[in-house]
Amino acid sequence: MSRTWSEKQSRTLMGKLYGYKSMDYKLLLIKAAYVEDFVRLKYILEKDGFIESVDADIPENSTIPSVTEVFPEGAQMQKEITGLYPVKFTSPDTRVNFEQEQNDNLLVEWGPFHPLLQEPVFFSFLTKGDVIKKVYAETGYNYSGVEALCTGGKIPHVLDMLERISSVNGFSVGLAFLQAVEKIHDIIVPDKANYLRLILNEMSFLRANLYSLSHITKCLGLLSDNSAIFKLISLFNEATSLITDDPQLKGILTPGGINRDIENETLLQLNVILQEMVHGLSAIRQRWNDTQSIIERMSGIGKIDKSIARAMTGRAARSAGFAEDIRKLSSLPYHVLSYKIPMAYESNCFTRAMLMFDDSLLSLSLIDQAIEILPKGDVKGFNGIMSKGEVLIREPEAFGELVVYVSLDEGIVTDIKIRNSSSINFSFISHFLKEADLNEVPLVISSLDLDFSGMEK
Amino acid sequence: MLKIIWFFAIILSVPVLYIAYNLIMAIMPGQSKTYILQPVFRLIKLFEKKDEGTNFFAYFFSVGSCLFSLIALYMAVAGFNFLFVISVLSMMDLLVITGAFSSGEFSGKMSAKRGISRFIIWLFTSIVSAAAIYKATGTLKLNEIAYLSENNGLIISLPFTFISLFIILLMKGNLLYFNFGISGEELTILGEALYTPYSGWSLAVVQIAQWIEIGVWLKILSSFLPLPNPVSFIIVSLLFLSSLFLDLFVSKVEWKKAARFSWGWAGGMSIINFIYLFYYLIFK
Amino acid sequence: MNWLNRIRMRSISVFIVQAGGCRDCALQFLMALSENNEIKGITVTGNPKHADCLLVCGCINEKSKEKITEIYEKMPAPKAVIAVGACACSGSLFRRENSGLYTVEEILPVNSWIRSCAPGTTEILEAIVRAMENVKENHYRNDEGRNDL
Repeated sequence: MSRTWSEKQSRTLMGKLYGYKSMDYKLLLIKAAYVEDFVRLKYILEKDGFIESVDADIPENSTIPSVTEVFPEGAQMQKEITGLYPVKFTSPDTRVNFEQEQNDNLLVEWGPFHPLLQEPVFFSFLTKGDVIKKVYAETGYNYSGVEALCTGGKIPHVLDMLERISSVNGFSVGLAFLQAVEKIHDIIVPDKANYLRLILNEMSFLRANLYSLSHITKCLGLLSDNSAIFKLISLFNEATSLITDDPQLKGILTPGGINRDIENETLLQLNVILQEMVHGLSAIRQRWNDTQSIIERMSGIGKIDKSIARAMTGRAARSAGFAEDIRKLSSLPYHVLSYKIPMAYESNCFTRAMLMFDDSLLSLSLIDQAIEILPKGDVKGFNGIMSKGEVLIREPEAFGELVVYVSLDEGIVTDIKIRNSSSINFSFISHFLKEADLNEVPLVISSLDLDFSGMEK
Repeated sequence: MLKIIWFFAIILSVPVLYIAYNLIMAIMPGQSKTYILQPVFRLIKLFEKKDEGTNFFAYFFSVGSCLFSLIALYMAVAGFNFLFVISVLSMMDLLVITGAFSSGEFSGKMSAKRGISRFIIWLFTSIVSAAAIYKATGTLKLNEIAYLSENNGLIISLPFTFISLFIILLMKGNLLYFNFGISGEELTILGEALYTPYSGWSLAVVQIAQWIEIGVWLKILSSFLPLPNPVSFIIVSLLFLSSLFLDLFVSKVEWKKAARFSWGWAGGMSIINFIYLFYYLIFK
Repeated sequence: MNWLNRIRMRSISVFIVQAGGCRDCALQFLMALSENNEIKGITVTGNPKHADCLLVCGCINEKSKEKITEIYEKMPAPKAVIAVGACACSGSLFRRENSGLYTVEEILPVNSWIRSCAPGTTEILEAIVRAMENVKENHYRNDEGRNDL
């Protein structure tokens, strides 16, 4: 194979990707690894559960065409690869271009640290008047190299680390990793453990959604609603304190199940506390739905076309009318529970905020159902056989679809790659913020529920 | 002597109003997250802070604005011409805006833009109001206006002017629908807005200047009420305090909307009063 | 100047830096502010020039290190720095040799440490007040390296 990347190779690669795109495939993950002198890029694509991959061996320091022309959702994953491997992608979105285009527009820089930003990200806006014309977002302030640290680690250690990736989605990431481990090692998880995992997972979703709501109320300037939602969060913390000291639910998961048996009575008690939230949540939801000024302010911003929303995941897609059922992907017993996916028909800040309420209520109802039909039995599975293998797991997380690729060898993690919903949704941030008023930026960003700490590991 | 008492009473009155606001908030359940004397604590703390000394312009503009607000206060107390007071106040406002603009940060620049639109609105309103007052009374001196309104009930011929001047007070206090979002009290993308470049004692001085400015407007407004001076001052202060509470129940509006509201209410009201007076006098 | 210290403790503007890691420490702090505590008068500001106290949460990488020191230098003295959570204090699980991560101590003079994952709500508020109580007027610049408090 030649040591330079030729035009022809570019065309072949893009042709392949375009072929898959025309067959309605979605980009799941871009994986990169060193293979001898090359950087091997693996584009993993998916359609209706079928997974295909396109490989490309790229010589170091060469520039290849950007995948965003075919799959715009890959922008953030590509950016991450540029940071870690000596590969460049042709991309028109650079900050240098910005400074050239300044002319009569005002260049506004915001971030990376601001109380209205949940997590560090640096924005450069080109504005005319108060309206944003162009957006450039720079990330990387959160990067702590978790994936690299996990490589070569033992399973319990990696699990500890993954649970600490993100405060809102850490549990889901840990769970997905464990499922990968169990799949490779052929460990059978007992029924009760699966149900308990489901309950805990839904609790972590609930927590994530509550924090998102609290941030939205802060951006809206509704201080009374903000403290009302914080009261709900403290209610949640009270409920979790029955099981564990940590509201993030760290340290409960273990390969083959969970590491403590939770009594039925404790669960019922927990459910009673959690169901108290239903009233509070629906009251706020109803009030927002009835307040004209809130509807007016929020429904005018953060709009997104259906064509773009199709490529997104989580609430951004569901609010545009795509009934994406992320829970169906899971191996947890979601299929025995009855639920309806909350949806809306136009993606804007208001519908997404309403979906946050709906999702929290859905989580509460799922917890209620699961506790009712909780089977009896053990909560720890038998140890399987240490074996070698690699597996791709798709799991739900609070904000969309989570993809975890794990490769194991004799109980040691040899490769791990995590892609959460934000890696997909963040690629479209410029579409969201274009033509938005500068003042509404925090609100638009918070309605997108991005999880940077999970995105840049 | 009386003037000196008035002078210091007005300087103290606005912080007292904010303290009273905190006091009532502390009594209301589930609201208090601050100390009652928080504004004073903050001021003392800021004075005691050491600025790095790299920001000469911030000192200049903050001290300048405070000086002009003091002059305006003296003029208002001494009963000078209404237009004199306005011109000194506009000088003060311009200094604050220039200070924000000179910071070089985008939040300073953006809020300076808003500050200028607020400036234009309130200056226009006060000029039209001055014309209406002159039409009604034949004088612009504040002490004469106060005397006339106490004896002849001037407010009957100048009701809309009074409202429009009160709207200016609300604009200055960043309240209700007349909040341009440049006070830095709430979290926005603009951060501390007009006060971005100031820190340490220069911030404290600007804070004092803002309080004095509100005091000046309270004094101006009080001269329109048909009551003895101290009583009308207390009534106007109470009106201001009640709008501080009303502000809790009003959701924020976008600054362009606030500008529209202000044009309509402040500018519009003053024009209506002027036209009304004009025709009233012709047909009489 | 006892009374001055007491006043300083009663009006504290906090600038919160959520560097790397999960954001639970920052969430806990917001939670603490929303509760009705005995400690009052703590506000969040978005402008380092108005801040008295810098809360740093999470592991710090090369990119955020620059920004954090920039923010620290903008703050007027006397100022306090508080390392919140295990990541900020010691790097937690994420810090290894050559991982390119820093603790807060390595880049700024720290006044208080809260070592736990994640810290409790009242602990954070108390740490802020204690830090402001003992704050000294230290003249510290980034290029002088680490200083001892």
